[in-house]
Amino acid sequence: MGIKVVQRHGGTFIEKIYLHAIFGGMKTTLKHFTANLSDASNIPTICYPEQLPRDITSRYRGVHRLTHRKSDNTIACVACFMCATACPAKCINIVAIAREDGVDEKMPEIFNIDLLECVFCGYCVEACPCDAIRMDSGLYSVVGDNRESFIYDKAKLLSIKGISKEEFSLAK
Amino acid sequence: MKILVDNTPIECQEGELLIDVLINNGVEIPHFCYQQDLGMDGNCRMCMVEIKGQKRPQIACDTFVCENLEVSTKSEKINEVKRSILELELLNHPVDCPICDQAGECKLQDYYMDYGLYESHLCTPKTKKGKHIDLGSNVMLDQERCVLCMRCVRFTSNITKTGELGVIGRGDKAKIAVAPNHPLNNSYAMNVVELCPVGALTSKDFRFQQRVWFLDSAKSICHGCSRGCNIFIDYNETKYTDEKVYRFRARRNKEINLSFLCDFGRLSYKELNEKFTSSTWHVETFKEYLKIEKKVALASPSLSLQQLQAIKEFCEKNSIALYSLPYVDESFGDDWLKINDRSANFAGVKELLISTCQNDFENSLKDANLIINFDHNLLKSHMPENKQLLHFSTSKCDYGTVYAIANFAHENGTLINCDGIRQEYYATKYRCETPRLVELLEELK
Repeated sequence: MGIKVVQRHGGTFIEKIYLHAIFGGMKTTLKHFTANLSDASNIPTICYPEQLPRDITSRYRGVHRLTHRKSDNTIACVACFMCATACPAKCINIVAIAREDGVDEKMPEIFNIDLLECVFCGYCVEACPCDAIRMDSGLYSVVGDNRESFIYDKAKLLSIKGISKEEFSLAK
Repeated sequence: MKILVDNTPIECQEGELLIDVLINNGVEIPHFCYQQDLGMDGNCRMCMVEIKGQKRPQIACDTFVCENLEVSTKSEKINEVKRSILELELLNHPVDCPICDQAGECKLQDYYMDYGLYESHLCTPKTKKGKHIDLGSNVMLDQERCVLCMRCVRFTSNITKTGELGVIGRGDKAKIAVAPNHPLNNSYAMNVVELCPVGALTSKDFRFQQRVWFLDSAKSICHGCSRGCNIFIDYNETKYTDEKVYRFRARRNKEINLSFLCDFGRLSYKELNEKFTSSTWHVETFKEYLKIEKKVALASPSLSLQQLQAIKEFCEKNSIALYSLPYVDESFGDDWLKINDRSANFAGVKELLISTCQNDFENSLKDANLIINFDHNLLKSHMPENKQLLHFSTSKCDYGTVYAIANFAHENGTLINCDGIRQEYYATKYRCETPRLVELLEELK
């Protein structure tokens, strides 16, 4: 393996007394301080929760939602367990049953996500072969007053709307 | 005799099939139609190997080994052949793995990852065939997923000789089917589900219950009759569910059951999941019971040798008359695997010299004040009058005091089958909530 020789910095007298670097840093701080003091409207900091974030895009990993099929507006999930298999927090609980309406063979009877255990990694969305689970809800704040209210069931996940252009599952 | 496989010498017998030699020595050889207990058919062409001196690749399931045979299973050329064959097998496959129960143990998935990895050349629509057809006897058929390996057809025509399944149509219209109004109907029908290398035949009983990659397997022995068929217990315990047994699968044993099981035995896993109420175990309370004069004990002939030995020692020490009666069901047996003697270890009972005389047992039952039942079914639903009845039981009892003990899925043990073959079985890896019988008897010493 080849070795890359990196030149070390910080050896000179000016660099060793640090004053040059300290004043350089202070210059940047003071520049922002004076700019924000004279015009407060451009400060990126918001007064949460009175003000709400304006930069949530459809790529933001928010609370999960289950999508519908475009053809008949029924649940797109076929309970293949790919999300539950990929989940590192093991927070997805699925119970599958046979689907009787002729649209497909299999569907989830129970589909629970425990949001207290979820780490919002998005692996479930990556793993889904049917585009049935997405995190494009834009919901960044989940509030509840007991543990059970953080377990989102199938009906709750289906009722959440997405903020991206595609409302329905894109699976063929 | 020695043959050379991928430049490694392998010891084998004259006249063996090449594919058997390869499988037995752990050489990877893809195959759909060959099954060690159904024999060769040679229709899937997946087991192609290169043989030195032969012009074209040969199928390993129709080649007998001979002296100085030189075989290559891994060359670039042979992988190209396998890739082409696999593409033909998969041409009209619906690729509905998300809803297919076979996913995870499917040969098409495995071989595609090992030898396939091609882009589909199909530009016309895929041929449509029947899906989720109920064939009867808990078997579901999906004709689109089928690779026509004929294992199921050969099983019903050669092994059970009932011949319900056949192939109709030709070319890409060929499909497995049963004749109208003649559903799959024999007591070994569910073996076709296990024989099917793809998801064409799936079990209605296991359908959508669990994905197979979440399951663990324990090597065990079926307790349905004294044949002692070798099985795998497939079970799991998840964050959201208690430990549950999902299915039994046949474990190959050339001397006993080959790769097959009867449907009764296959579905007997349900007993292991049953929950029932029982009393709390207190050693002191039990010792009070033992002070009663005139005691008789009845042990189940399906308990393991270790359990029976512990019971025998316990009974000798406390001067209890011990009996064991066989479970005989004249309507159960047939001319193959099923046997009228429904006790898993009756030969073991005889070996330990435990009395099996029905008359003696009934006489001592009349005199006895206390009856201790070690999991025998006879006393679970029948209450002798004016007697104290204590059960050590793995299932629900209608009368008496019940102490729950671990069932055979949670025990290691030895059984002797009807042909005198001694076999071990092993417990699942999860902790059992109910205590083991041997441990309880140990506490009483």
